[in-house]
Amino acid sequence: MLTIRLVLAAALAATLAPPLFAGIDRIDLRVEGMT
Amino acid sequence: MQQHLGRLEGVAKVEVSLLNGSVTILPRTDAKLDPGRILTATYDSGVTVAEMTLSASGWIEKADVGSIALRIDGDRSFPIAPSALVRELEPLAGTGRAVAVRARIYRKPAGKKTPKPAGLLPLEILEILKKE
Repeated sequence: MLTIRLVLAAALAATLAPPLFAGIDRIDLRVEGMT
Repeated sequence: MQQHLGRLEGVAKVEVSLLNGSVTILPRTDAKLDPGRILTATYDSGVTVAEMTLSASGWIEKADVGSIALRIDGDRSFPIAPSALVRELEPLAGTGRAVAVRARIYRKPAGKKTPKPAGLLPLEILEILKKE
């Protein structure tokens, strides 16, 4: 019973946890007036 | 402009193409890029930003009534503008499942030559790069 609860808790935590690699990967600009 | 942007917090590399008028900004792996500061710094360096897009990964959360947002860390989330692609993201709200998108976050207002940027816009999703 304890094992089942642990497995379910781990599965729930994995579902609710934020992704490991979140963030801004790159920003692209289109600019005018660049010399 | 390249040096100016390169000095900003979190910026690892700035690639400039004079031919296309394009600038790509890549973050350091351990840092956070701030699109608002990049927009302002670019303007301050003497050029006009016509458009800013970003690629970002995070997870979808419910925002105001009927809208969603992309949360990229504990203290930063970006509202998402309604569009056809958004319907694919809506079911992910609150699930914590990872998603990566390419989105427009700024576009120069039409008709103005060198406007001071009014600020960032809600993300206009251009492409869903990855869904868990």
